[in-house]
Amino acid sequence: MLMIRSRGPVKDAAAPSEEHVANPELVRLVALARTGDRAAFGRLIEDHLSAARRLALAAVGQAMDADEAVQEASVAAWTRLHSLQDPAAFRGWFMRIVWRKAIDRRRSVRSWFERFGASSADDRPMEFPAADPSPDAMLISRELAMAITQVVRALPKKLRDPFLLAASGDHRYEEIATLLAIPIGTVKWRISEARRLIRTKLDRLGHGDPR
Amino acid sequence: MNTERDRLDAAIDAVAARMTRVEENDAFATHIINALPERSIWSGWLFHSWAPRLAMLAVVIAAGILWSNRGSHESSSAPSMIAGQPTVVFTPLAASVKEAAPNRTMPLERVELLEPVEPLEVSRVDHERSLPALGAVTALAFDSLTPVSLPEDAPLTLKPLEIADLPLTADGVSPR
Repeated sequence: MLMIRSRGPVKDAAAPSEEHVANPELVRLVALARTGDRAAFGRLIEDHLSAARRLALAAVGQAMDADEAVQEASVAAWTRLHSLQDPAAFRGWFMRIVWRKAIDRRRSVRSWFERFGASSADDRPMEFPAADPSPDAMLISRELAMAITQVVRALPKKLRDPFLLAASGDHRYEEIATLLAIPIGTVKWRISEARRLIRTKLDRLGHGDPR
Repeated sequence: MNTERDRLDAAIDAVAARMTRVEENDAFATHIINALPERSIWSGWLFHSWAPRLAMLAVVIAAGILWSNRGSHESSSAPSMIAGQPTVVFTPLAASVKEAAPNRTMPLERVELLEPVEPLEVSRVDHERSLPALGAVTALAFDSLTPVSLPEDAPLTLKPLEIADLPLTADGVSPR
């Protein structure tokens, strides 16, 4: 079974979804936010902000664009909160809005770069935090990290999106399938295919398996 | 080989996770909340969210009413068009009575409203029998025109005109 464990234990795909587990506090906050309570909506946003920003970053590749997408999604969620049928499903509902906003921004950024003849949006350098204290990161040479980054960025979007969403550690396969509107089996295959392509290209670059 | 492969997989996972890692930013949540649009009252929010739908519904209803009216108008004129017969339009007759000033010395004249004429079907009009036939003229008599008062043999003569002489003196002329 393919799991990406870079950000702690990945949730079991067979486990019940969070959306179907009634969270009384979440339901209460959604009910308050529906009545116009900004503080309650702020609590909801804060609880899901990190996951939303990682989700948007997986789509757009730039922290600034990702934050813009999250802000647009938050405003959209605030104005459309009445359309949420099940308050317990807020997380998935909000993440779908974030993903759509991020995809819209990715398209607009690409069209802007194409219009002004600059390099493609995919060619822009991807931002990384300067310090990464994880043991895995310390073992990776900077050259290998840059090579992997370039290879991942060069993947087709239909492979890169599910691969990065799974790598974020925030989403189960079902959630990724819902976000991308594809079957869960397709999600698994695309992640597997993305990993295979990454290995193959790293082999060509001299970083691969010495077999 | 497996150790090297596992190391590569771990490196891929670590880099991929780092590609979606974000810095903690507590001020960002506050910034988002402050940027939210105002939503004062529950009913206002509901109306705001439903206003576009209500507008579209009103447009659809108006279009439906117009469409239904157009359909009834077409159906009323449809039979004559289908029959292919010339259309004769008769306007119903009605007496045009002007409202007269009240005259208390005489009773108001009673006006009978004319009934509308039955629609005439042109194809059924019998022109041969529409009018009674005229009787034949048997003889013409011109007795009253016999010239009995004129002389029989004398020629016609005209008397000359007699014009009196006009006075041409200065007495009768005005100095102006």
